[in-house]
Amino acid sequence: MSNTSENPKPSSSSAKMTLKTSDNELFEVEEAVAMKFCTVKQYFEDEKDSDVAARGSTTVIPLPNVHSAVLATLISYGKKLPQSNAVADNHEEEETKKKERKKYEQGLLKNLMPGELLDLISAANYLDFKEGLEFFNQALADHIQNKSVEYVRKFFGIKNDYEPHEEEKYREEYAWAFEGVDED
Amino acid sequence: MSETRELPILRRRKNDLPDDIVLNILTRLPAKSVIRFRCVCKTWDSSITTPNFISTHLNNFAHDHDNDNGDGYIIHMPLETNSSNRAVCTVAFDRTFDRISEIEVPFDLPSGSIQIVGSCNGLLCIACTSGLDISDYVIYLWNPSIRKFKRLPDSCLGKLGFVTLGFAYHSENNDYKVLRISSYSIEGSPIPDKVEVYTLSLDSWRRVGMSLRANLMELNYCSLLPLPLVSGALHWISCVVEGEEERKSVVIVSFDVNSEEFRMLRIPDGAMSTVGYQTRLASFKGKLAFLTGVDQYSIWVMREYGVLESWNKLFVVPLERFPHCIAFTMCGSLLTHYRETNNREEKFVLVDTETLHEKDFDIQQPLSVATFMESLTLLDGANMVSY
Repeated sequence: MSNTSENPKPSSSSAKMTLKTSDNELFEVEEAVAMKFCTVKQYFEDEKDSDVAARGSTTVIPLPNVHSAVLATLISYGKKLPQSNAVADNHEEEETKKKERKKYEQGLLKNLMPGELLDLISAANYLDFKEGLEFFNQALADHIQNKSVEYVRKFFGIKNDYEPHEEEKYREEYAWAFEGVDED
Repeated sequence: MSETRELPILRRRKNDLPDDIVLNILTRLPAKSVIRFRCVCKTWDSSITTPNFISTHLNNFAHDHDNDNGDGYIIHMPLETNSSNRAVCTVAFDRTFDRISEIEVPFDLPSGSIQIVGSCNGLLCIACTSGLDISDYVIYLWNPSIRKFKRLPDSCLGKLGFVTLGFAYHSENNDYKVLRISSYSIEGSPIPDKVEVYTLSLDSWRRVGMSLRANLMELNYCSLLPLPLVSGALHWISCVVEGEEERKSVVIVSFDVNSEEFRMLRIPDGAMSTVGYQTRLASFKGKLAFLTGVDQYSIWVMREYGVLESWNKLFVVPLERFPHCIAFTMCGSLLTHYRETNNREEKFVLVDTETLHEKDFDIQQPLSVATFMESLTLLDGANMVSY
């Protein structure tokens, strides 16, 4: 499944880049969006320096640590961000865009399984995609906020290294923090 | 998030998140969750109780103002206590004073009055006096978000007539200080006499010299607002007696938390004639604010700290009755208290200084008010009491 980007605004450049995922899918992405992945940006700039190919047209950038489903979501999120090369909007346009983005973000999170969040964070970290990392970190924080200690251990694959009596003591002393927690 | 009833997925080893990412996620959690997750494993516990984690967490929650509402929080409590009930604080939105939650004060308060001396980084400093002896204070540091408090040791200087208290965050040392100025009375006017500073990291009081003391006289009124902390200094209003004629002029005195030096600042030109019982100092969006007036409240803001020409009269609030300002919040809400002249009824009115919209506030008694935020401050503190 390759992904073609939408028609860009007439005023911005429409240079595209191709990204190749771990499962050998190719994604054609607008340069403006791909540059938000700093790892890609760095690779691209290195390639330019080594004078290998014409700008963006034939270079395929390999992303061996990112699966296609994950990349698709990250690209989709990247497109919704304010573009750095976009024409400045007036206050009303900005507010509308903000509301649209909020709606999109809510929809995106509603359809995600908790486990997918970990993949997205991992990939955003690998790609050095700051806005994506910020967003999905917050989403994961919101998800685990009211969960139990056991849930969190299983979710992150963490071994409990407390002695039973230590844990019991802690739970007694801070009983208030364990109240009202979601059922597992 | 689609929540099916399956078990959470056991993570494959190769997809484990790096530690710094996990910690980034944890710093976004409210205090209650953080406290609970200390129990997940020992590594998490030791990472959470570091000053670095605590300050990153604080930054995340301090900037909550950037959310859609742009609302910060305040906390308020009634001034008078009776020992039959535990006192209760209310957390509310700072613009509207709409109530969010109530928190029971965890320490015993004798019958008397309580006052929020200050609020820094989610840590409250509370002073309680019993009965008529207004110089006998018990002081507590309290972080309601993590349910820990600490009673300060008593001052070694004994009791004097009139006390000014201030609470400040010492950013250079990531430490907290309490300032106490004791005054004695000469013909009804309090003269500042002894100054002490409590430093949290040393857990003790020590005397501090006050080079300006010779000419100062405290203004004989009671402001219940916390002393504003602006540009690393605590500020309060005082009176300088000068020259052979013993001319009195009102000044602002400041105490630099880092250098522990005292300085004087002039009040705005043109405000001198309006100074009286209703005059207050406050912090407004990080700047020093001077509130004064007779028929109306004028709110001056010092745009550039220390530059006297930068006093700027930002708001004028016309008021029908002679008010006492109880609180002036970071977003410009002015809470006033006055007594109706005909029926002697007490009224509390919240005024938005930008729109001048007034709201009758459904509180029946004088309050002590301070800003508030959620934080883990003093999670790593020594000798704190958990409750």
